[in-house]
Amino acid sequence: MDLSAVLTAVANHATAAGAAVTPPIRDVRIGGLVPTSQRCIRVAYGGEAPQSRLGATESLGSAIVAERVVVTAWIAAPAGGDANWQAIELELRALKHELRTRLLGDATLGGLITDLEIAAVETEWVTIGESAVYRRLELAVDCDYEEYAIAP
Amino acid sequence: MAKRTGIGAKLWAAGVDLSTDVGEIEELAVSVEPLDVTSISSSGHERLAGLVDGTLRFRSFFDPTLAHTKLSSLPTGQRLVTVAIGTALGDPAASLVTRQLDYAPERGEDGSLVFSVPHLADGTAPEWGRLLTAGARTDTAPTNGSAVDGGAATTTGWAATLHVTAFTGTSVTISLQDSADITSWAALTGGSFSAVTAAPTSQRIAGAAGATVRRYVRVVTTGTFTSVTFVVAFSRNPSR
Repeated sequence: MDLSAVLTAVANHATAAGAAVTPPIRDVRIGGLVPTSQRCIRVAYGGEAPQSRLGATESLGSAIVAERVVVTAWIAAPAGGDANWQAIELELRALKHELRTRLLGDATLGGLITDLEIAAVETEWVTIGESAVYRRLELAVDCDYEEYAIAP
Repeated sequence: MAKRTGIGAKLWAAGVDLSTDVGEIEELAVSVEPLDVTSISSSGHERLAGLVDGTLRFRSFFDPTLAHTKLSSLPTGQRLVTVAIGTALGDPAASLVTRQLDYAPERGEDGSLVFSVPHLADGTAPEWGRLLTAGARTDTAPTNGSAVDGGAATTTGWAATLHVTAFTGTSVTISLQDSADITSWAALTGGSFSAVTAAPTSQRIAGAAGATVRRYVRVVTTGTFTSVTFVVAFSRNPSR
């Protein structure tokens, strides 16, 4: 799998998803999980994941793993009252919807991979340092498969 | 010897290495048909051993460039299959003369697509023996291979299965030799496969009933070629 091309393809979808929500998220980059702006999306290599679309995790002579790409969105805690806090929840859901729709609608990432699968999206509150509070959304995209020969 | 797992197993079918497209070997069975010959004077069943039979069933991934092209056509002729438990010289290997019965897809809810591929033995029982090559061996010139120690000579006959997965050249002859002392070698009677001029291909040869095989056996290649990749599984017939 060409990881560089896959990261770029996923980032392109993240850029489009960020532009489609209100207010838009325009800070989208590959790499770097620590947010550098109030609203941003980061795309990064997420390591391996259990391969789930081939029906087995091993062939007779090889181990088969999926490669994971993680899309993380950061939205800083707002100033003001409850209405602003509640709006963030709706923004997260809208962003998740845009990301999942776009990625599943391009399940081979333009022919770069054989298939992808998106695990359940998670959200959480994150405090960075002593006072920077963010609402974080994490979407894991399990791409393709890599085979590693097993030689006893 | 310590217990081993099935990791690193291999499967060749008609000269094609399908190992990376096979996720599971569900059944590799050798069976004997019991014949009931119980007499009225017996308090328990009496049986004789009847015909032997064999079954092979494996699950393959959907690979349109390899397994699917080889298995989907459901050939009506025989197919030689060898399953090796490991790829070291002398590792156990079972060879079968089979007929493929089905190529049945299972599309799971998770999106997976696997095929169940059952075979039945045809005319001979599955033959458990040992690899005379370290997995697939590649010779770039006529070569005398390394010996496999059978422990002692046998006088029960033998069989060998060849899979040639790649070949470049005019012709190669792959043959068997045996030795009592690992030093002096002689051709095994009937132990020469037909000359190969293209790959993939597979062959099975067998010695006469009761043929003697000395303690050590090896594979040699002769002919005019620049590269041949092949597997030989050899079995000394069990006493029956």
